[in-house]
Parts: sequence; C-alpha cells; structure tokens
Amino acid sequence: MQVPKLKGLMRQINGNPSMAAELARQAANEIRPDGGKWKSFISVTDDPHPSESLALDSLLGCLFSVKDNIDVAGAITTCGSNLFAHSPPVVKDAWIVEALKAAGAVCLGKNNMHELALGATGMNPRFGTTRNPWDFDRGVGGSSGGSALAVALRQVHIAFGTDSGGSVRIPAAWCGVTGFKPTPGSLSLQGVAGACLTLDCLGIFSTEVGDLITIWDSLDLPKDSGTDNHSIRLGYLQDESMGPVDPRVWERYQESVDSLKRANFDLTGVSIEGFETAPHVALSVAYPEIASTHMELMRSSAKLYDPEILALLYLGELWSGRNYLDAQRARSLLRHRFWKIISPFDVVLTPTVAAQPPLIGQPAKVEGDSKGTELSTLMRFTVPFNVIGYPAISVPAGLDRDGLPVGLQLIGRPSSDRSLLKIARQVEDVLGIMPSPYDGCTT
Amino acid sequence: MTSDQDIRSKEVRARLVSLGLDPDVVDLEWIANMESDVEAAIDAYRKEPEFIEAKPLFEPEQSLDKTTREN
Repeated sequence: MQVPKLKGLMRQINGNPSMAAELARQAANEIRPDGGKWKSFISVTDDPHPSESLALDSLLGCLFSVKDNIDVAGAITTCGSNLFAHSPPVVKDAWIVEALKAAGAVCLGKNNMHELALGATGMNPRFGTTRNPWDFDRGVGGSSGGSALAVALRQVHIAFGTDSGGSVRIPAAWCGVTGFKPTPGSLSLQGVAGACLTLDCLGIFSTEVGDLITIWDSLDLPKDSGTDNHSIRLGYLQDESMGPVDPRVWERYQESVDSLKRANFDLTGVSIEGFETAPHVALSVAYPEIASTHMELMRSSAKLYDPEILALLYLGELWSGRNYLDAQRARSLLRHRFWKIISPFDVVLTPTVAAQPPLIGQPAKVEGDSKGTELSTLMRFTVPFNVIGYPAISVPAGLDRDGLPVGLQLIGRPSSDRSLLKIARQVEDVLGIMPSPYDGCTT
Repeated sequence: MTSDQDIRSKEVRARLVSLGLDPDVVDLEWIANMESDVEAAIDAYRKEPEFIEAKPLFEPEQSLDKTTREN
C-alpha cells in the first residue's frame, strides 16, 4: 500500500478521527518492523491513531515518521546504534512530534539512520543498510536515509530527520523526494539526540513542497523575514567553482536551469568561490562537539562504536581549542562571503550532491576529486549552508541519463524559510513532482 | 606508510594513551592524516584579510530560548 496524496486525503477525511485511525492502522500494517528489504524503519508504532486530546485537526490524515534520534513517547531512541538499542523507551515526545500529534497527525514509527548521525552513507551494521528505491544496489546516503526512503516509498506523507552537513538534503536528492533544512533555530531541537551542537538542524521530507508548506503553517513559528512584494530573482551556480561535479549530474542540473529559464524565471549565473574547504571548517567544529556529547560513553563502551565513528570521537579529544575557535571564526567569514553572493537574489541554485548515489559499500566518487576526499565529494554543496546557517531545500530535478535521481538545491536568506518554500513550490511547478519509484513494492 | 606518516601515527598513539583512550581500536594513520588536513585548511583561513575581524559564529540566527523551548 502506498499512502494516498496528503491534500486529497485530508479533504476526504474531513476531520473524522475514526477514518484517520483506520488509515494509520492500514499503513502501519504494511511496514515491516525489521525495516523490510529497503530498511527504511527501525521500529513501527503499535496501534497508531490520532491523539485523543486534539488541540487542532489541521493535520488529521497526515501520517509521519521520524529518524530514530528523535524522541517518540513509548519508543526507544536507538540513534541507529548498538549503544542505545536496549535503552528504555522514552517518556516524552520531542517538540516536533508533540506539535504534529497535537494537530492530528499520526506517527507510524522510527526511521533507520547512519549510526549516531555521524556519517552520510546510510550504511548501518546494526539495523541494515538503507537501499535506493531507484536502484536496489545503490545507497540512499544519510544520515537521515531511512526517513527519505519512507517518503519515497510512500509509506508516510512526511518524515523528519536531522541535517548537520547535508543529512536531509543528500538522501532527499538520491531518493527523488524533497528535503528541507530550515534556518537553524526555526524548529526546536528539544527531544532530539543531536550530533553536533552548533551545526544540527531538524529537517523535513515530503514528496511535494505543498505538503511541507502545510506542515510549516501548522506549526507555531516566528514570522518569516522574507518579502513577497517583488518578482523572484534567482542566482544559479554556473560553473564548477565549488568543486567538480559528475557530468551526468551536471547535465541534469543544467537542463533544470534551462527549464526554469524557459518558464521566464529571472535567472543570473554566479560563481561561488572560496567554499572549497567549508567541509573542513565543519569537521573542525564537529570533532570536539561530538566528543563532548560522547565523552563518557566512548570511554566506558568503546567496543560498541563502529571503529570509524570512534576515530572521529578520538579526533575530537585530540582537537585543540584554538582550532575549534578558528573554525567558528571561519564560519563568520564564510557567512559574510556568501551574503555578498546572495544579496542580489532571493534564492541561489546549486546541484544538491556532486555525485550519483554510489553502489552499496563504495564511496561517492567524482572524476577530478583526489583520493581521501569522499566526505567533501558528498557534502560539497550541502555542508557550506550548515556552516553559515542559511536555509536550503533540495527538490527533485528528475532523473539523469542513467535513470538515477538528481536534486536541485535552493538556498534562501536566513529566517526566510516560508518564502524559500514558496519559491521552491514555483520551481517544482516547472520541474514536476517525481513519480513513485516502485509501484507495488513490498516494504 | 612513509616515515613521516609513521612518526605522526606514533604521536597520535601516544596522545591517545595519555588521554586514557585505547589506541588499538582505531586507524591511527587515518586520524593523523585527517588531523593534518583539517588543521591545514583551518590555518589557511587565518591568512585571509577578513579573518582578523571575524567573530566566532556559534549559533547563526538563533537564540538559546528557541532551541531549548518547551512547547
């Protein structure tokens, strides 16, 4: 079963909680508790139904899931790791879960993720590796891969993840869905087990931007600083100034930009110089922040960590305070640098990821990248906007010549999240909504 | 492994041991390489003319009450 489109469904349910409960039960029954062959879920909610004390019914009929580092009362928050797989269930919902439930939405379960959200491949030795819905032999990326996958497979309408370097936008691009990372602080992280204290951001997946707007408008959020009173001006990355891109990805990206030009969008080509080492700035911030979070556990339970993740934590222990502070100063420098680029525009466009989704177990690769730069290859277009705190959204740009999905990233101005979503919907109107990758799938 | 890498890996081992961490469960060469690559990139920012004016950016465009609010 694939969940019916949200808008029509909400109209059909028309505020009837019994119908919403029946739909939730049917949808949950279709999800395998072991994640099925795609490994999209870690756990499924027993007897899901709308809250009995609804404050509103604006989201009645909406089915959602959350990455397993976001608390849902009554469920274990495993963070995709052996470390927490046998922890007691949490007693309180995360802020975002509570907000959605209060509006009538139903949580169907917890999504698979890269262990501890400390990686972007989606490989998970404990709960299984998430598989790409467009090519089973390829990965979906991460760390919020299970959430992107659940939306791509139409198991839920909406899924939540966290994005510290691209963990929402990368799997969104590779699954052919929409992934939104708002301005940091727009959505509360209360009840979220984060990875990096100053880079983390809650993010949202959906099949279409209109559903994201429905969710956004249902939340009690500060007023947007964006304006709607002028025609939209878009800048687009016109060259490889941010680093090399797979030619098949670049071709699809260019075709998307050309489609927007034909649709009379006001587009101007830009170079985005000086961001090549933004991934290094992110790492210099991340090492000590994740070590700070894991200090006690890494000493008491080192053997329960994946050795690659343990190496990251050890780096954090070795990292100097001066390096950390210099990286925070570099963030400020990069923020000013990008402001100069975006200031004539409402939004700047780039590809979301430089590479195609790789085969399972292989690193993401682009010709021209030197050995040992896999992380930069994966995050070159996403992590700069975590580093500088700008909102960004990945929308599907269609399939490349090999039949693999490509994402188009739109970067907005800080605190203009609602305006960014509105522009993304206009872009989506031109580029189209991706169809379901796999009709009749067994989940 | 070159002799330079070997020396750096041994240094990393000694520093981990001094912090009470087990060096035999991780790839020391990888740690040594990542440490020098990232440090070099961060040091390069210090040479940028704007760096001297740059204030640390911890939580862009957000206030603490928003990230910790209880709704």
